[in-house]
This record gives sequence, C-alpha cells and structure tokens, in this order.
Amino acid sequence: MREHELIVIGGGSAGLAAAIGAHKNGLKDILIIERADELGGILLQCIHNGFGLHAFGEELAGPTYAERWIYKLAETSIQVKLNTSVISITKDHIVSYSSKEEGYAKAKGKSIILAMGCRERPRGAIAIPGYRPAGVLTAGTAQEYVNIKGYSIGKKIFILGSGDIGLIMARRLTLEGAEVVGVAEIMPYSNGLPRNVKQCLDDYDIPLYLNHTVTFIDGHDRVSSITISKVDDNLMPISGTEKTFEVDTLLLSIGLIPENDLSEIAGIKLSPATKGAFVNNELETSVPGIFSCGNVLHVHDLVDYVSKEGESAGESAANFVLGKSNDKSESIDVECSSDFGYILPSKINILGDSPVEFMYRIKKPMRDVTIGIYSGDNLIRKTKKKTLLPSIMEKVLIEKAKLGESDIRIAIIKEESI
Amino acid sequence: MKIEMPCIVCPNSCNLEVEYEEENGQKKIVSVSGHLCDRGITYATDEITHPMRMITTTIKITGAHIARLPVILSDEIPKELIFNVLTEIKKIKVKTPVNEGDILLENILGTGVNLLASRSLL
Repeated sequence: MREHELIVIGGGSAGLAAAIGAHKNGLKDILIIERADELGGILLQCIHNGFGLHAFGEELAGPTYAERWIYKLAETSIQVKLNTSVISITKDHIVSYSSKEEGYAKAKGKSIILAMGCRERPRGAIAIPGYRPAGVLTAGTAQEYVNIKGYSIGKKIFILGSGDIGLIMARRLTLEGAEVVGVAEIMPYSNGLPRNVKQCLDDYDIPLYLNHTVTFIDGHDRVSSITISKVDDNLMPISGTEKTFEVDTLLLSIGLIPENDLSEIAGIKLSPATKGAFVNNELETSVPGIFSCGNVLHVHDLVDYVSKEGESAGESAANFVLGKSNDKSESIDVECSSDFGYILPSKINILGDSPVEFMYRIKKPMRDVTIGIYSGDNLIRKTKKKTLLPSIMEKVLIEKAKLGESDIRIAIIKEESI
Repeated sequence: MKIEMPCIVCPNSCNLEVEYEEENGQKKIVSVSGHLCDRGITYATDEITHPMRMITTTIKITGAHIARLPVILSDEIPKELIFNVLTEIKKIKVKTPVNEGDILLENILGTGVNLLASRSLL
C-alpha cells in the first residue's frame, strides 16, 4: 500500500487550496482524490461572477476562479487521481477507493484532509405533499444541467427556497428564456445574500413570497402546477391561503448539508449545529491527523473563505506530518449563546501563538447589536454590528494571548431584533 | 430622497444609505454611506442615474468534453441592454481550443464591452 504525506479527499475549492497550502508548508508527497473527471468541483457550474475578491482582488466567474487554483497546483508536485471515488477512511488513515484504472485499492496518508463539500437537501428532506412527476429538481442540479450540459430544464418555473443557488438560478433561467413565476421562502426573510435578492429577483420583477412554502405538487408525467400556502409562526401552512401556479418545473433551494458520510465511517465526531466535524483551531477533527475544511466542515457563503480555510488546513496537516504541531494536551472549549447557529472552532489548543479566527452565524436577522466574546466571565472582544444576517457568516480574529485559559463564549450584549 | 439599497458589487452585500435630489428629471447624488469600499459609491451613483449590470452565460462549444463554454463580459453594460446583448452572444459558436480570457466577441452592440471565455477548454 502506497503511503503519502497527505491525502486530500475532494478536488474542489477547499481541496485545491488545502493541497497547495500543505505544499507551501513543506509537504511534497501529496495526493488529491477527486470523483469527477476534472478538478474544480462546483465552481465549474457557478458561471456567475463575484468569486475571488479576497483571494485575487478581482471579481471572477466560478470557472475562472477554479482555473487560477488549478494553475497554481500544476506548478507543484501534487498528484491527482480523477474519476476516483473514496469508499472509506479509517481512524489510522487508510483510504479505500475505487477507479476504472485501479479497481479497488488502498492508500495510506500520514495525514488526511476532508474536503468533500456539501450536497443539496432534496424533496424528501421536507416531504412536500403531492404527486411525483418529472420536473422537480434541486437548484444545483438544474445549474449543472443548464450551465455544463446545456439542457433546457423547463419553460415555466417556480423556485422553493431563497438560498443563493435558488436566486442565482432564477436569474440564470430568466436570461435563458424561461419564465420564473416566483420564489417561495418559508422564513420571514431571504436566506440568500441581499445582493442576490436585488440582482436576481428584483431586476427581473420575480416575486418573492416570504412566509410561504409549497404545499402541493400536481402532475403525472410532468409537473403541471404547484400550490403554495402562507405559514404561521410555527411554520405550519395556513388553510385558505393557497395560491396555485401553472408551471412545468419546481426547483428546490432548501439548504445544503456537509457531505460527511466518509467522516462518519472514520469515526469522526460531528456537530449537530454545523453537520460538519468538530474541529480545533488547527482544523483538526476528533481523529488525530485528520483535518476538515470548506463546505464539508460548515456551509460557507463565499468561496474565498473556503480557499482560505483550505490553506489553513493544509498548513496544519503539514505541521502535523513534520512534527511541528503544538501539544494538544491542554485545550479550552468554545460555545455560543442560543442566538447563534454555531461558532467555529469548537476547541482551542492553549499552546501555540497563532491568532484564532472565529467564524459564526446568527440564527435570525438582527440590527444594531453588540457581540461579546468572553473568556470565562471576562469580555475580551466587543464588536458592534449594524446588521447581522443568517445568510452571512461573520469572522473575528483574536490574538492568542487575549484568549486566556478559560472556556470561550460568544453572546449578544444588547439587541433590537427586526 | 433618502433610500437604503443593498450594494451588489461584491458578496459583502453592504447596506448602502443613499441620499439624492431630483431636479428636472435629473437625479443627483447627495451622499452615500454604509459602503466598505469606494466601489459602493460608484455603484450607488450608477444605480440612481443609469443602472449597469454584469452578465454571464454559456455558448455552444464543439470538441470539448462538455457542451457549453462559460462566458463573461469584460465590463458592465447598461441594464436595459441585457437581453439585446444576450441575443448577440447566443449567435456565436466556438471550437476548441479556447483559453480563459480569449475575446470571443468585440465591442458588443457598440458598448465597448467584449465577450470573454471564463474557462479554458483545450
């Protein structure tokens, strides 16, 4: 069995940056395993612009952003296996995979980086009542069909969920000549970035039905109509508020879930809040030498942050292999108050001097709030925020010396909820 | 008039507060706040006086392992020209090899804006 210094699972934005980050920090024998026929991951189907503002100081289309990283990779000794699916990972770093060339094979990594990304929640996840005709698909699948395969997916379209992919697809399909009749969102606010509501819906007069969800799908061979209903405070449909739209296609943009099947096989502890691994400030999971980054760790809204996290995971894996990791015997825990969806990392090694970057997401929109980060009872950082949105991941960097040796907690100091 | 608008320039999605005056049908910016960078001021000014948009789409490509080549404009175009520009873009087909950044269409509809390949397909 071949042993590598590092095996990276996944060759999308996180995996590319992770491999490059590890190479920059001294590893030479690195293998990326990618199940698709080329590197780049989901970026290849994200043909819209807005990528790379932080990483390159430019606004690039998704495929261009991917290509920049693939070129960086080509300048290194990093090896890549394409069309290869990883089947399992063990606690002692043995990766089983299968491919046409090698059949079933195994490789060992002195370290492993998980960079498998996330997958979309399908119809079954929210159990929409009705028939099961063709024409119900997730927004990301529609994106692949339209942007890569060049299929027309429908003529009259309704979209459930106002996540960024749904919004981007509303505009994309409008530009391709389809009629997008509306977007329904069960929450009282959009789950996408405000800029996407503006430039993808408002620009094309596509109505956004807040506090609404799809309550019936009709059609036998193909979708013939869908019905939406208003929901109450408990998100339950209100009888008598039904509106029916004659459409041939329903797109679902109802959330992303980190794809951690392999992490579970490896016995890695997962967080119920992020659906990703619990990691410390070096992005190391509960299994020593296995690191996690990108959307498999927590769903990001900016690819630039995925790349940055990937590079950090690469650096940590390099330090682990080269024996430069800090002693992990003493650590402190990080937790958040109930106003927050999550905060990462969940553990911090006391030893080491690198500043710690905390990433958190609020549960519901808030205005004019002050966020406090506490070490035990001591307030160590106060941040004023004009607006906080669930669709925007916030980051805060704190010097190691300030963190102290008590557990860390993030909470709202005062709030005026909108 | 004072309005709030989300900046669409980048994913930071700044919430801009824009104050403008209207005289003889001409809109004039008085102040912009809430922006993290100067591009927010340009955006707000354009948005009030003459909205501009970037567009991306795909065109047909032969000889590649995928059916469509993603393309992007070299700069923004007036918002009202979006569908006219798309009609021009849809007229063209390309063959491999194409490199990222290759100019596929020049000065579309006299806008001075070019159409560029946003990935390489060799």
